[in-house]
Parts: sequence; C-alpha cells; structure tokens
Amino acid sequence: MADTFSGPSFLYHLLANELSVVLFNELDKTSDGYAPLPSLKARKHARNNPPEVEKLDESMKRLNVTPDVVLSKLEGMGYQVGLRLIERLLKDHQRFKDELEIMKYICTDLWKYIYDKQIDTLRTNNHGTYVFTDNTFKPLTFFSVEGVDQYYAAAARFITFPCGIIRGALSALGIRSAVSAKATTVTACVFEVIVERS
Amino acid sequence: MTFPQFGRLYFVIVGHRDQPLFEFEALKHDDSTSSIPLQREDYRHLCQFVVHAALDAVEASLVGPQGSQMFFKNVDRFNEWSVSAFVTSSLIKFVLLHPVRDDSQSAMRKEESDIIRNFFYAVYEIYMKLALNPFYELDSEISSRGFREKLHQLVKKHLLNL
Repeated sequence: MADTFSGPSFLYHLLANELSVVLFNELDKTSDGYAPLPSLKARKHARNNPPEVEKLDESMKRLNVTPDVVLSKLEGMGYQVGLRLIERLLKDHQRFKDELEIMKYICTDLWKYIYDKQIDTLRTNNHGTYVFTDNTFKPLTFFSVEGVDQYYAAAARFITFPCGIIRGALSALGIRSAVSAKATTVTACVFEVIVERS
Repeated sequence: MTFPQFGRLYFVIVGHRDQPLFEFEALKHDDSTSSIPLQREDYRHLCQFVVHAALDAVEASLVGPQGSQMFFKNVDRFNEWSVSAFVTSSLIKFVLLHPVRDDSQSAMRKEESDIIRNFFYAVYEIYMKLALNPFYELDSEISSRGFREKLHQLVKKHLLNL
C-alpha cells in the first residue's frame, strides 16, 4: 500500500475525506450549485474589515439547526470512517471467529490505533449487549470548563463521533448494531453496543 | 452436452447479498480447438450461474476447519472449469472461474495456486483503495473505469498463461 495509507495520519486522511463529502452534499443544496467567487472589491473589503467570529451556539440558532441534526451528522461521519478504517486495518488479519473476538479487537487494536490506549473494561450480558468503559477518554481530557453541567453538555459532541466509528467498524464486519455513549464522570465515558439479533 | 475447451477466465466480485459488484471476462484468442462457438451472452449467463452455485461451497468452507484463511482454491468444479475464491474480512468475495487442466501434475498445480493467490491479493489491494474512497458506497456496483483498467492490467500480468 502507498505510504499515504499507513500511520496515524491515515485517520486524519479519512476524516478529511468525510468532511469533503459533507461539504459536497451541502454545496449541492445551494440554488446555483456553487457560490460565486468574491470580486476583488469584496475581497479587499473583507481583508480590511475582518468578520467577527460567531460562537457555535449562536450560529446554530441562526441557521436553525438543532443539536440533534449536528450529532446525527457527526455520527454518520464516524460511521463512514469506521467502515473504511476497519477495512484498512484488517488487511492482513485473519477473519474473526465470533462476535466476542470482534468486540475484543475493537477494544484493543482499534482503540489503540485511534487513541493510543485500549478500552479499560469490556462487559457483556452474552445476549447482544456490550459495554465498553474508557476511564480516560482522550478527547474528554482536554476540557477546561467552569462547571460540571457545562461539561456534560459539551461532552455529548465529542462522544458521538467514536460511537459512529464503532458502529461503522461492526457494520463492515457484518454486524448491525446501535451504539450509544454517556459521559459518566469527568474524563470517563461509557459506550453501549446493542447488537441486532436476527 | 459437452462444452469445448475455451481457456477463458471469468472474474466476479460478489457483495453481501450475493449480487455481482463487478464482472470481468478474459478471452483467449486461439479458439482453434472449439467446434461449436458459444455465444457471448450464453457464456456470460453460464458463468454467472456457475459462480452463484459455487457461493454455497464458498460459505461452507468459511465455517469449515480452515475457515479463517482468505484464499480458497478449487472450492467447486463444473465441467472443465474450476472455481477459486478469496474472501475479505468484510465478507466480500472475489470469485475466479478458470479452466482446469486434468493432466497437470502436483507441482504445476501448486504453481497455479500461487499464481491465483498472488492475483487475488493484488485485486484486494486495488479493491481496498476503491473502498477507501468516500464517494464509493460500500457493497454497491463498481462502475469506476480506473478500477476496470487496473484490473485488466492485473489479469494480463498474473493470469496471462492460465
């Protein structure tokens, strides 16, 4: 495989591709297809009067986008990334014998590839429900918030993407599932995977 | 009804619902041994039929004792064709229909199996590059011209003498 597809930068590669797909779909929705290039006058004006940066909550209110839409889009992107990531990672790997081995692979090798650490605890009820517990989930360790409530509200955005990755990885191996996540205490995160039984 | 020896190859990529994602035929030009030329459409239908019937045998080998390997040689046989398969981790199957030489000795058979295995691994590489494209929906029909050309080159490189 070409060197572009090895190493941790591969993940960013996949993510950039996903963002480009989202952008592509968004551009399709505008009436004339593509935004016109700004004129020289407009560009000069913009350079001299830089626009104020809008806060995320305010832009969401302005565009009338509910948090659910954003989260489901994030999860969708995670799904596509998970599909392709697992295809790449399992290139020289043997096929898995059962579901539990797949879950173990996700907890160890996949998590290690993305976050440099393994998932701390894997529990199952042997009837299709698996619970992954990560005590120091990487994205949640970089927060600086004023209060715990603010933390939980903001954490939701960061844990839907890995939900999508897990769901995509399982889907690529032929397992349909629903993955949800909850931030329990500060920096800890619990993912619940419910496998669809036929 | 006997089919004349054609020395043709048929390659197909099968998705999760047993649907063909990609088909490729390789024709050999000297058909001097054939007396009844088979029409191209009939040939294609027959190949699809044989591969579809062989999918059962492929899945049986998946749950068999050597189920965790990727390459399965001679998983099924029909008249003078033999079916070899390669199954990826995401259960996409590459199936190759190739003629069987009855008089081949074991050494030549091993060489043949190496050639086919190398071909399958090369196809796996280009399939994976295609799968990583975010605009390609997995398990859908492969209509990329670049993919077809690359596969054509691989067939010429690996399977020319088969």
